[in-house]
Amino acid sequence: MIKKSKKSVVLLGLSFIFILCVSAFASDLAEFEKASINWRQKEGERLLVGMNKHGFTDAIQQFLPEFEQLTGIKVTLDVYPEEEFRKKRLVTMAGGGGIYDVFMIDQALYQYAEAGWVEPLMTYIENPDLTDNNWYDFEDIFDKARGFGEYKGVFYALPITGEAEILFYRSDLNEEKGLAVPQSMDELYENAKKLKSDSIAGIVLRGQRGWGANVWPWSGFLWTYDGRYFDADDNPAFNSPEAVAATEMYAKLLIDAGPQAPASYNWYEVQSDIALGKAAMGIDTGMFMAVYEDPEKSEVAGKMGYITMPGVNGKKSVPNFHYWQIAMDPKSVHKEAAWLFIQWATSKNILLPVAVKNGTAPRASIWNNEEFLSKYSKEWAEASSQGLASADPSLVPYYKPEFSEFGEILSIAISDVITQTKDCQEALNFAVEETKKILNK
Amino acid sequence: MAPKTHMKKNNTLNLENKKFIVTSLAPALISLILITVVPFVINIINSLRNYYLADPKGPTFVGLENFKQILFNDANFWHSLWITLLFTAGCILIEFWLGLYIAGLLSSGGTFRNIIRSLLILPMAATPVAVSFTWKIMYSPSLGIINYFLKLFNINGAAWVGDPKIALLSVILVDVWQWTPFMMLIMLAGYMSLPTEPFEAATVDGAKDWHIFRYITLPLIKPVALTALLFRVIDSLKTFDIIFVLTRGGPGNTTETLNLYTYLKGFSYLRIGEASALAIIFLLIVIAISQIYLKYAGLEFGGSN
Amino acid sequence: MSLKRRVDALAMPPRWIFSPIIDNYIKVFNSQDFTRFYFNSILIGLFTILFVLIIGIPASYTLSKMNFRGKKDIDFWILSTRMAPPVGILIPYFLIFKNLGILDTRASIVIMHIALNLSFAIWVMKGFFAEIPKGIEEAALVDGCSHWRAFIRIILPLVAPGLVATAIIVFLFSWNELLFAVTLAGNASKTVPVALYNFVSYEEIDWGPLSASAMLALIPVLVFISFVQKQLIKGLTLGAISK
Repeated sequence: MIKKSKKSVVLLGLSFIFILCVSAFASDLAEFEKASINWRQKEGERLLVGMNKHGFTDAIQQFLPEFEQLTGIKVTLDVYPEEEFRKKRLVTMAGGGGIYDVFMIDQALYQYAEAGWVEPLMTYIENPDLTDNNWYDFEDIFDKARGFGEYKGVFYALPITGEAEILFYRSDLNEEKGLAVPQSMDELYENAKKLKSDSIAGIVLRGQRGWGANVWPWSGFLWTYDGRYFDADDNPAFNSPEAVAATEMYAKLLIDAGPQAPASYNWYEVQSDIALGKAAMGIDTGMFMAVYEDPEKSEVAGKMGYITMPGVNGKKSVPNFHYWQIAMDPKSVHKEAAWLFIQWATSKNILLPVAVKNGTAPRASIWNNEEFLSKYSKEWAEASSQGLASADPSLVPYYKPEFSEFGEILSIAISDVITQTKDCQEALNFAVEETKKILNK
Repeated sequence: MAPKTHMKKNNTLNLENKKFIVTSLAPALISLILITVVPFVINIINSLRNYYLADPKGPTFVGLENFKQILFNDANFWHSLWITLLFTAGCILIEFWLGLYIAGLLSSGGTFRNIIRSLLILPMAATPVAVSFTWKIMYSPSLGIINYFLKLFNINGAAWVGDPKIALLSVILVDVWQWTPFMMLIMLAGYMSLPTEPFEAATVDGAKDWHIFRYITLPLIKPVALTALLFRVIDSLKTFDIIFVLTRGGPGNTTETLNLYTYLKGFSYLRIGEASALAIIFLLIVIAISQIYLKYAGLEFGGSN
Repeated sequence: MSLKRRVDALAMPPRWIFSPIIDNYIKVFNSQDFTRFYFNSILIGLFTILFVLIIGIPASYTLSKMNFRGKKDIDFWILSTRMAPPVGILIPYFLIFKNLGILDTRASIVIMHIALNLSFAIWVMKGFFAEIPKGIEEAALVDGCSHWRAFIRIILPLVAPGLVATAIIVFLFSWNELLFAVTLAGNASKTVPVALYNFVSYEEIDWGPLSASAMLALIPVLVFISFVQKQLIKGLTLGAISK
């Protein structure tokens, strides 16, 4: 008899705890249930989502149990590092797809769209049974970000991050040397030279070859100097006088005021050099800020300043930008369930904690959100959002599926200029010639 | 070789011989055929097509067009071939002699030697990815330990993988660090399997160490050493991870090997047709090199004593 | 490096004195089921060695000692299976395994690893078999042994060091293999190198856990090697006796 009552006490206690837990979840779910759609309409289905390692992925992993609670859909995340995931995603889709229902994607989106490997999403967004736009607020997403997910007028992917190319500098070193924050490229160059010493580089920039390496920040220079990837007749134009000027400045900064081996610098080296006090300035993605301000990861927390890229000739700069996105496999057999997941993952409630943790977001409302802004310096938030605003997606070369090919050739040219192996005009001319050959194939 | 006597023995045990040959070889041959023939055929088919993954129209048959394009129109191909040969030559020259030397040092056994041997295996045992990233940081003039130590001796460290003139050398060094243990391990096993009689006889005869090495050790260890070398050559031609992580073929294209180029063609540029053709050409080159190697090294087995 | 905090890990001049933390190791275990990947890799490695040795060693012996028509060609063809650049065969393999429905299984990776290592095992062992003096086999055969018996009882112990070296290297190749493990595997069959690489994420390289997991990755290898070395000593003594 005693045993029985012990049992029931335990049972009672457990169910009490259980109710507590459920109500804890329930209060979070309440946010989602404000949407007027039936989240449970695809209950019981399973999804496989391919992602690369990213702050976003970590956050989603954390919130997955909530999603399952909300919808009854079981989701498995398959996570790989960026380069490996690109390979795997490619092999999977080239092999016929049908494995990942949803996957993360970047500039390769246009290649994939051309090949028919991504599902158009507009029908899902406009379907009132699947999407409550009052709640979801599609328009809240930066229109530039939305444009980034379009190819030939069809919308394929939703953005999950938003980052812009900005300038970071050591405000303490500037003070020491009595330098003002550079407003133009020429000022940047002068400052960098003055800041350079035996123990610290004046500025660091990506120099390593790769269509995703030095080309990314270099593009910001190209556009700021009023250069273009393609001219009005769609001919490659990155050997124009403007492009040459941009490249010469890029190289000058590295050769005269940069680190010892700039041609080996990818984003990681740029980030680390500054974080460990080996470089005074850098131009790269605003997301680095999250690392710089973390004392566990950097020695310069609290000493950094952030501002938009310097301009040229009194004009504002046109920085580069990036949005990671998620898309759907057209061969998926769980398309509606996949859409529910995508909608959930790109909703305000999920993107906000991601933004707070990682300093990146594609939604205007988040950039104005108190919680987000309070965590990061106002200066940085201004620099980043201004950067995102001045960025111009129409200039981006990714829309041509051949981008990875001519991008690589361009990156080799830039690398050659940085190592002073080739003269600037000569290197860019060669790149343009090769690009023409590629585009005519 | 003593073919006549060998054949005589074979004749008397003919049936049993044959049974043994078949039962011992069959599983290996069948497995290899099953696993390698089909992909190879697919590869050949792809190389004859104009297969661009980003083209929704799909592949069309173009015969030998891809091959013609690569061999006659593609300066990158020839450049990367040259870099590959340089890289492989640099790696194996160092790895062979270093491995042989270290194996020789360790061949006398003893627990201390055993510990050293286990330690020396570590570079090869470590995951190549971790190795590559660690070396990239070590090579960094600002964050790396190599230039830091050099400075302690008042030497100005180089830019290593950032210097177009020595990037290839820097990459070779990492390969040497990682794969010399491979050579050493195999050659050490070879040393340990050597029969003792010739050595005893030689010492009795009063032969000098160097002579023993040159006239007894080297010839006896030849089959093992040369096989290890052969594999190292083949693998070295295919090296990918180290180069991709350290330099991605840069600065410029000073470290772009054929394998890297093929990878970019296929996986980055999505030109499967051309990449398959490159792979076939690569295979033919490796076959050619191996054939030359085998003839030159005289690797005949079966009565090499 | 595996014991340092991230900021200490990269500090230059190097911080020799630091507060070591095992947090990194804990993080590794907590993230993505590391123990499962460990298990996967070990299983795959052991099975690979098993099959490679069983299938490969007899073939190796025959190819080194016997002479018959077409032997040279078979020799070379086996060698050539290792020559193809992995990039060239990646997509075809993926397609084949996909159609067979065995993607994301440990079996598919074992098959790949066998394919990649069989030729190595065969050719390397040939060198060791070549070192055995002719007299020994002929003596055994004259005594009335069948080929198989002679092979197992007498020849094998003589090449024990070679077997050990081969086993170690094949295990290492399999353990560290990344390309096919990533492409053919999925969540269920993920291996250690893939998991390790996961510490290289977008905009960040987590050095602490990376080094920690690299250290952890080394342990089974070292265990395996020391285990197998004991057999090596045994094999040597056996060999000496039979001489």
